Amino acid sequence: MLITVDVRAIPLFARKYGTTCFTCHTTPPLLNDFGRRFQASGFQLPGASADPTAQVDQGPFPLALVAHPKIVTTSTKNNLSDSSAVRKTIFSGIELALFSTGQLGPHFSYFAETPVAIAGSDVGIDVLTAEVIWSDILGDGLGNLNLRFGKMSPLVAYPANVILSNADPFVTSYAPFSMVDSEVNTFILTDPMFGLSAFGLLPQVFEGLRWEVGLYGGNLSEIDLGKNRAVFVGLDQTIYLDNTPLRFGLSYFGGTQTIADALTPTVHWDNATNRVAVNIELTDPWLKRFQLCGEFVRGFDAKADSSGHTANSTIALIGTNIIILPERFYAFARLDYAEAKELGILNRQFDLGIRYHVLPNVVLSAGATQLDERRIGLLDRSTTSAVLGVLFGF
Amino acid sequence: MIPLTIRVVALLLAGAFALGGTTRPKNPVQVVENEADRAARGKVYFEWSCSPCHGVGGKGDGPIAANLRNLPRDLTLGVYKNRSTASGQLPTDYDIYRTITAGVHTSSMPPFAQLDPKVRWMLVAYVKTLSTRFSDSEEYPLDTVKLSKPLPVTPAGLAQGRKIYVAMKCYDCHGNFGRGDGPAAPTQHDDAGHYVVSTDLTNRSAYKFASNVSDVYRIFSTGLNGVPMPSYTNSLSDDERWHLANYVWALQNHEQYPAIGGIQ
Repeated sequence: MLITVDVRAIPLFARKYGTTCFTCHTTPPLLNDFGRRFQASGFQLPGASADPTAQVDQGPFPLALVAHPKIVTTSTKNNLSDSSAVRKTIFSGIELALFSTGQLGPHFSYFAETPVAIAGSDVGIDVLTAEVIWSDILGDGLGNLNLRFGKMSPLVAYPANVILSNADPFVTSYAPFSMVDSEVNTFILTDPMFGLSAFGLLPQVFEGLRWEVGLYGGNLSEIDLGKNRAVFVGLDQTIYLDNTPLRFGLSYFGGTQTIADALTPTVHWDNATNRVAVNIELTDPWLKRFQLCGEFVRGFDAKADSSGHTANSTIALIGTNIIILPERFYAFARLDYAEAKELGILNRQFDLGIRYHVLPNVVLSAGATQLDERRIGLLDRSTTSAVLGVLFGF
Repeated sequence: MIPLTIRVVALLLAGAFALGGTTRPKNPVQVVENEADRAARGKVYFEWSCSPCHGVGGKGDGPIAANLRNLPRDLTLGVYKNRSTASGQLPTDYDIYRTITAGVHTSSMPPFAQLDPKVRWMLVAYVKTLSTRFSDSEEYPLDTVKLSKPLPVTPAGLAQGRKIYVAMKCYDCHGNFGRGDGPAAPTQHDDAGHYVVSTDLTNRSAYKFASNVSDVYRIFSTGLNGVPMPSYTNSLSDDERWHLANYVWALQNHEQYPAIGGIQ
């Protein structure tokens, strides 16, 4: 069973600190400036001392639960044939995510996420994230330098669902563009991998330069360092213009990946992948409730398929968040684009949706996605989907 | 056979526990005797920890502010709600320290108890530089409210508190049963014209600044500067404020005190 927890904002911190989700999130799970500093401090309050006597009581068992049951209706049309669209409406099942985070001792904290998907008699459990953070190594409480290791995601600019949509942004895909239509070879950069990284947020550089240098390997829950290893380097600068944040960044993800042919698993080949990305995030300076996010990626795959084809890809994302009522009601829209000319691939995806907080921890969600996938001579498919759900956090 | 994933995660966690028990690097924050030096150091921490909400200049206009229901305080005005001083006066240093430490419940201001106490005092020093009121000699001396001896909670005392609640027209904002739904509640605004929620006194988690009955008594004595909640120091005696505080605190437990219902 594919586990796709689309919630990365957890109520545990809000509960621990007696505050609201919006202390750290602009629109969950997108982090605001305080949330970025909280993250860069090893999931502790920015400026926090490592003195264990000064810690906030984290309770006997720091565990949080998020559930997001939803109804999804999908219409898929194959444009290469004259067949009519295939429609289906499904209940996504009870998708749960258990989170735990807390302090292990001075300077050390942990974060773990375990999604549990229940659909009929089918139950899927995965240790999606389990990372240990050595924070505030310089001991000044300013988040300059931290280390983390375990199973985790790189600190990319826009992780999956950061602009709220249920769909993965193309810009975080590490797909080798296999000519076979399969999920097997699709590697999402934001799926947690085993890794070791140094990261931090330098408040001395304007309003904060977030940085990370990490070694990553493996894919999903498999430890397969021999088959996938990569380096990630990310820089993301924040500047306040009259207290309005402007962010821009640069990141690189590159390495090798052993790919198995989806139809003939015994056939393997090694692909060398490079992704270079630039990103920008603008906020309107008047109301500060309108955000525009964009990322542009150039990619190169040395052996994108079993025939050894190279692929130069252009991938882009542009999205917006609109806060209609603070801490209650927000909307989003997003356009993704991915093209690899050598392989005749052109994918486009458009998302829009809303979130409404009935209560701080009960959120109505609705959205629609239009996905067009083309591979010349092989595939021309359009998929329209709509989602209606309720998210509970405890 | 234990899956490799679990073995590796367990190994990492065990290593972290082991490392976590070692002596941490000494915190380089030194005790700074000079107020100006404390403020200068506090500025660094303010811009790191506080500016996302309060803004770099402390005007409450940080990048997050517009997305919050409870707007961050404009620290340049020198108007503080949570104090131990007489109505209209500045807070004491410890009042500011206490707010930084405890946070403001129901708002987005978390308790910064995790910050080293020395850092919190640096923040106090810096926050005071943001308003000219703190350097105005006419603002001093501060008249600190003294906590008189609490009165025990008795049925007669609660009935007295109820009478005072009605006589002082607390119900105008807080409602007949203290649920924050009084007839004047929808029209309450702070000095800046922003809508102010009248606290639901029956819900302990709705109290911003009170974690016990003594805090309630203190608020009745000081009032909350900048919002319509007045001080009752001049209109109620010490005992009357204690009766009122006991009554209001007991509203959270109305099942326990059925006699304290609204106007029958």
